[in-house]
Amino acid sequence: MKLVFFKKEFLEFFRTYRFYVLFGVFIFFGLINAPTAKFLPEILKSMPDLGVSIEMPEPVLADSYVQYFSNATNAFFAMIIVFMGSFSSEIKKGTIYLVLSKGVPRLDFYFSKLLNAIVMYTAAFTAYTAVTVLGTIILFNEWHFDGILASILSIYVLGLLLVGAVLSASSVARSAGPGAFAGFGLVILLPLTDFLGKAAPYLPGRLMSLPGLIMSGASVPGDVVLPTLITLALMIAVITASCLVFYKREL
Amino acid sequence: MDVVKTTGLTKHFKNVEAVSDLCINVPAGSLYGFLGPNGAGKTTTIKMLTGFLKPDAGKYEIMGEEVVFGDSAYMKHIGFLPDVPSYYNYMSGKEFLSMCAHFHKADGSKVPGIIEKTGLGKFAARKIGSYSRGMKQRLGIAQALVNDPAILILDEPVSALDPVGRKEILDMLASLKGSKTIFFSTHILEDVERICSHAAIINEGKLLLEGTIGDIKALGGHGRIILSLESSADILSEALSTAGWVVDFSFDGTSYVIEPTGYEEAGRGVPVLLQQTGAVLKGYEQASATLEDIFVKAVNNI
Repeated sequence: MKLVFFKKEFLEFFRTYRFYVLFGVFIFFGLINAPTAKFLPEILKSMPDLGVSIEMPEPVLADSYVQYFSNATNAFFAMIIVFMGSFSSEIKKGTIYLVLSKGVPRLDFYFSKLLNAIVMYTAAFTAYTAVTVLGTIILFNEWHFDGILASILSIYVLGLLLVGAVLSASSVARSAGPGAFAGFGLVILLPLTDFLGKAAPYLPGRLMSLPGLIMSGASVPGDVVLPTLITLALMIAVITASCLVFYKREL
Repeated sequence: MDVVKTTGLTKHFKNVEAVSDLCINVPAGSLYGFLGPNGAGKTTTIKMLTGFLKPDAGKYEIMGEEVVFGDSAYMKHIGFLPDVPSYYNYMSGKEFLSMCAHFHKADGSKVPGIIEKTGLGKFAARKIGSYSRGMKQRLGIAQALVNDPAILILDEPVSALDPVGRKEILDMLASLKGSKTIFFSTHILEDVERICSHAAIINEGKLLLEGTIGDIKALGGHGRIILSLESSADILSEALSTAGWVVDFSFDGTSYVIEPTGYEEAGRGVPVLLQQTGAVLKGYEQASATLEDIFVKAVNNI
């Protein structure tokens, strides 16, 4: 497979401004993470007295990362919107007919779109992380806590699962709806899997709560390995299934 | 050699049989009109030939090789234009054609020549989003030519164009006659009659007629004769209805359109008819059977 369609996908991402939307949202959240952690207590203190006494502890480094892990989910919403029509828009508009009639194999078409989405997500996530770390260094004079890499990895893998699910749903649909449904549905349902008793530590949903658990010392960085592997295996299974459907589907 | 050959091609959508047991043979180098009214199964057939729909039954061969659904290798022989082509509007025409050449692993240096040939000219540098319908259709034909295919499959290439645009595209197709096999669907009979060497007529998914334009026209018999009289009164109908050489006739208030068993019989019968009725002849005209006559007859099972 030569992925002849990848170049078109890559360039299209810039020329249709989706790159700027995706990076804009990720960088925006990256920029506000550390300042929110640093200044939120002061902002709350400066608000008019509402008759409720709010005791806020002094902000610490961990607060910046709490914002980081929490806002990653918000940035994922933008990512879902950007990718939910990846396949379905080509099918609905009919551009896919001209591409496939040029002898581009369906698998090439599929994996070019998937690879481009993973590259763009990875770049946006990296930018998001870099901006957050930079802001944290500026405002807290430090950036590292034990398990930071494992925590970041768990959120990154969660995003990968979303990319795989959204694109898979889009590839078997004729509209953007199923892509959106798969993405938003996962974001809503995954935290619930953390309540599935003994299985919970191994399920993808654990990747959402692990950063908090690692920062609090309730989990160790090594705990990220199994849910990460299981999530990646699940992602590969979903992609393989949708790929087979796309290969055989009528257009 | 038949470059496109279908055998028993069948496709259902739920309970509707869109294409039924279709057997067509498209000879190499022909300009083949695939005729049928809207909903006849033309686009479904083309979508099967281009690998977008899987036949429920039957098979088809392209350039002598049977095609398996999902295989894309045979597309190197084909240039395809869908009925409503959609493009990446942010690209220029030239950029789009270069991309198509890249997909085909074809020689991109031929793109400027194709641009000239299809009349895209100065528009090639503009974004496709600014193109008129006619320019998009030209671009559609240009992208179908980009790999120098042996077969062009065009789905209704002129149906949405104005008369000028239609003529230009048809002239372009006619200019390719002989160098390519062109298979194009249409419901516009005039276009087929004007440029095609072969045609097939389908209706409700079934093949009604197939052959050269000459063979198909011959099926229409000896055409018609048109008689106009000095008097506008209907004085011939009674005699025409009993005349042995008359297959069918109609009277529109000024003239009679008569389908005879043959022109010779009509040549003998008309003077007798005039003598019997005392009618005075003003005009006599012979008209060959048109594809339209045959099409209407075939579609209506007459």
